[in-house]
Amino acid sequence: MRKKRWVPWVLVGPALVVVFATTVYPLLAALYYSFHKYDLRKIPQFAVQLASQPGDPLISIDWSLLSLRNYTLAFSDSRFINSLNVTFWFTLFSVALSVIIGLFIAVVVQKNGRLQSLTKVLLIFPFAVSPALKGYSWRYMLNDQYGIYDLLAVELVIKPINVIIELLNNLPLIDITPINETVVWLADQFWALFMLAMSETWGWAPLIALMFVGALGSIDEQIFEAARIDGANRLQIFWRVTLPLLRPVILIVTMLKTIFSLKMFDQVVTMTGGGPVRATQTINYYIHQVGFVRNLDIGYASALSYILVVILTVFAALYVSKVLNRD
Amino acid sequence: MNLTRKIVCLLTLALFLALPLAAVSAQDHMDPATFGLDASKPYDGTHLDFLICCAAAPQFASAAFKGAEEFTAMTGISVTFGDVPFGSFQEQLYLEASNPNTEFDIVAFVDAWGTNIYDYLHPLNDFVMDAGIDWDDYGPAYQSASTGNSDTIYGLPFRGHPLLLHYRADVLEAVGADVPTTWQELSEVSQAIVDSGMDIAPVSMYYGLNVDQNLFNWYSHLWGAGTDIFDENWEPIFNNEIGVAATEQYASYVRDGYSPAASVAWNEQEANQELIQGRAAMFIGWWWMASRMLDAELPEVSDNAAFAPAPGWAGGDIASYGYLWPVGILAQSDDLEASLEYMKWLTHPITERRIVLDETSGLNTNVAVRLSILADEEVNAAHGGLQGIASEVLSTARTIPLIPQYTEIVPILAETINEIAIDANADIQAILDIAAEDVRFVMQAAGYYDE
Repeated sequence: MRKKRWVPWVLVGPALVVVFATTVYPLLAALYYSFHKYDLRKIPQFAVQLASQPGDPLISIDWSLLSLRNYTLAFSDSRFINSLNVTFWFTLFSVALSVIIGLFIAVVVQKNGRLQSLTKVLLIFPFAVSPALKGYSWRYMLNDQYGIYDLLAVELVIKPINVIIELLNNLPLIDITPINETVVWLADQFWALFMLAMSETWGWAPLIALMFVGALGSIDEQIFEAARIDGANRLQIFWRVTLPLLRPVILIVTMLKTIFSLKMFDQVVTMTGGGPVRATQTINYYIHQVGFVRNLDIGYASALSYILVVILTVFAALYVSKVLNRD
Repeated sequence: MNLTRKIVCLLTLALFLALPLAAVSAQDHMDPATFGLDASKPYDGTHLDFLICCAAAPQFASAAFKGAEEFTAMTGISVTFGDVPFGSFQEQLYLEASNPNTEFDIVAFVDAWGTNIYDYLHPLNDFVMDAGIDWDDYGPAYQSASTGNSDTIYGLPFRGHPLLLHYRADVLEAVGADVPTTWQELSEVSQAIVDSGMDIAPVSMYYGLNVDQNLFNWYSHLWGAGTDIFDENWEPIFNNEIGVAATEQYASYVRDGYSPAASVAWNEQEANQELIQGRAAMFIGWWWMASRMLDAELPEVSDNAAFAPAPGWAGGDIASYGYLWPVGILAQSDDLEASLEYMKWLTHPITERRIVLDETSGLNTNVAVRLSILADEEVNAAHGGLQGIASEVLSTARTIPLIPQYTEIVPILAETINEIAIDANADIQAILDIAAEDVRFVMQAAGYYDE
């Protein structure tokens, strides 16, 4: 029977149209805009012009309207450089915390039991919360008047530490200043960024934990048995057996979380507003400000977006080629 | 005749008498001529789209929705309200205004955002003249905000807000203090509250970063003290000696412990919440927030709610920011004439008065923009004299620099104020100098200087 070559195209066609319209076209358009001076406040002038009158060439290009200005401007823009710095530290904190806490949760809940099963079900809820809502919730939970996290931090951490400091201060030659019990988390440049990362960890660590639970369940029990027979204690088994076997999953979740962290936006808007000062202005937040709120400079915002795309691509390629392929 | 029958008869009689009165009243509202509308319904069947913010906020919802059916009945024009939350409204406004194919005909916008869409708005000068709109019925600040300090009217005042001092009368009475009329008096009253040992923060400020709200009261300090953001040549001057003194005063409320330490991260809503929940005695904010204090759950707050004009500067001026949402028509609207008909009705004094007097819809609001409505005795009686206070504030209120670059400058200023607030030892002069350099860089890039 003769194979009908057009059938696959008909079947895939609708999906291709949707992908082109929602992904390929915006990507290409943004790249095109990034070489233009495109101010949303004015009627834009683009380099490629279609014929407007009979006799004109079908397509003409005005090269004078194209330039690399937006890209060169980015690297002298202190606000953009600040956003790169903020995004780097945010990514570092949020990825490290999410993976470490996720792993810890997974180890705790991996065994079968009613409580563990219930916990596994509940774990998905923080991830299901919308990022914007997460930001609002954390903002209120960190409030020094009625915030639950602030209360816990003060009662369970700061006050006990201050008691110890007081005891130490009774010793000769020791004079330590107690920690201020009125901590305004979102007014401190370090703590605001750290808490932003924690809000992200709160949503992601449980999901990562579930991924680790799955990975842990797939490890052959005989491997642990052999290690125990060889005299390894629990810590040694975790460090020498469990962790190396989880390495591929750790790498995958690290890569996934890194890509999501580099795109952080929602919680910045609802939790910190980019502050204090500029301490939590991530790249995506800054791009949004440049494009749609402050400068209305779509050309420059597109160029900044492409710099972010390059960073993401380089990062993903590095992981895939240097790390995952090695395993 | 027993008592029940008597009551029924009386009620029937009252209803019988009330019906003609109601009919006369409805007739008055339903007469197109009352609003200057064309009774021949030339735009019958036309549909308009109105881009407006915050349907959940009574000040917007009341203005948008009350009586819209009445307008449709008089003109045959129907209106859909494209409600957008405040958080994403600015972005939506710019995208719709710059979109040649936008579905929206009419837009409401914040004064500062308007500067970026002036080229996309239909000038309303001829409309104002032809429709007989009394332009002088709007205060100077609102006129400036509607025109961008030019000769072109880009929008008509729609929702407008003066800054008021919201305070607890019982707390001030307990410490024997008069209502502060200057910022310096505000500090004195705050000190008296601290000295009294009362368990309440004297004042609740907002220095956090959130839609630039931390600048609202800073402007009042600057202008009151006698300086400004720019001089007449668009050179930044907020870092001069007077600007530093004004900023020192503004930062002093948190530095001196009168405003809670957390206020360095608060936005306007959070600061207002302190007042509503009984943890603060004074708050300086927009007048539309007055109803929150009046409706507070705590009786000690609602029973003692009081309002006064925002303070001025001792020995200087009283000048605060008059914040306006004008309403305009997009130049690309296909239904310009129908949109103008709607504007006649929407901004008409009768419509505005009815909105502030209506207590039946659950969308109660005190917000009015016309001086005649602010001076209206019945309106003032319904709102405890709030409109009279607003009128007093608006007589000296000003607007911010209405240039397109200001949306780029505002984050520089807001971050500067935030930086000064979060560090009690911050060198105010040095930080303002850096901000002035950044502002100058933006203005220079925009071609404001001959250099």
